[in-house]
Amino acid sequence: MRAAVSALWVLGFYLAGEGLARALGLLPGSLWGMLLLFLALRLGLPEDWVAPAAKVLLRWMPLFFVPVGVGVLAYRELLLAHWAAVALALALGTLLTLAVPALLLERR
Amino acid sequence: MSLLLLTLLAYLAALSLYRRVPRPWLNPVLMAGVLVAAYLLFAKVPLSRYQEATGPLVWLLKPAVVALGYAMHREWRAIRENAARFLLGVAAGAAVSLTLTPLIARALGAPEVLERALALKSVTSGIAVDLAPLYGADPALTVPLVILTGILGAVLGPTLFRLLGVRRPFARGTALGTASHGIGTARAAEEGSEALAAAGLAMALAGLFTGLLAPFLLPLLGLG
Repeated sequence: MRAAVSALWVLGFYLAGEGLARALGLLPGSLWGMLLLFLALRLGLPEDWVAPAAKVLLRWMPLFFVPVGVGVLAYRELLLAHWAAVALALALGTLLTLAVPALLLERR
Repeated sequence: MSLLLLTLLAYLAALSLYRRVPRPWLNPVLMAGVLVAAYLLFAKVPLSRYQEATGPLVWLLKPAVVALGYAMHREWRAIRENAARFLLGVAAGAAVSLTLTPLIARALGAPEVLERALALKSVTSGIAVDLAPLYGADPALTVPLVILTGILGAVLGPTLFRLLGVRRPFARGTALGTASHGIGTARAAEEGSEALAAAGLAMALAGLFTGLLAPFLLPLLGLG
């Protein structure tokens, strides 16, 4: 029962997020929902109300995007033609993205 | 075989392999994707039919992204005292990834469709799937690049930190979560609870900041 109610709470925040996305744009509904849920919890919404469903969703989230990744099959030729550019952009881009926050936060 | 069931079984098999041999390049999503793709090619199942069958599973990403708000709340404690520095670090990392990654690809002659997907390379997949369509990127091309980014960051991060003299778990975790989302966060878990919480929060915030910065930064690159 608690689990079902927590699923409704998470769904409610998602729908509120979709509402904000329609009204304000800028972010997709899921991200507005994430922000709203975070703010509600900071402002005192009891954790237990959302925890059971949130934990299950977080644990299984990687499974949910497996089918999206399989869609890369449609891009085999594009990726083969540009593999070196993609590999270098990923490697250099990742090193830079790691280095900037690491150095900013290391200094005291 | 039901394509939904096939996806679930492939994921469970990949997950059990990863639990036994937890190496970043044995990432369960990557391995499950390879298994499913091999089956589709072998059994000549059209990609469109697979995507239709798995639509409901993918839809669950939306409430799962909302659930990240719960994870953020749990992790907030770890960064509370350094909140301003933390937020600045994650935002700077997100801005660097969003702009420099597509520019490097452009300099090397990659077409625009790849630049747009690469711009979101450090955004956790669940969020990237929803952000991609807003910026003319295909989620199907974006997600594999996101996963490769996660693996690269988890593998290269510790060596890079040593070369740069970055020792604080807080800094290392934040960098891993910002650059390499969930896979980086799993790597940060090996460095203790402070690094893990910082990485998890950085992962969700990097997605949020990318969403907030993209409408301003991507048009500067001609990718608006």
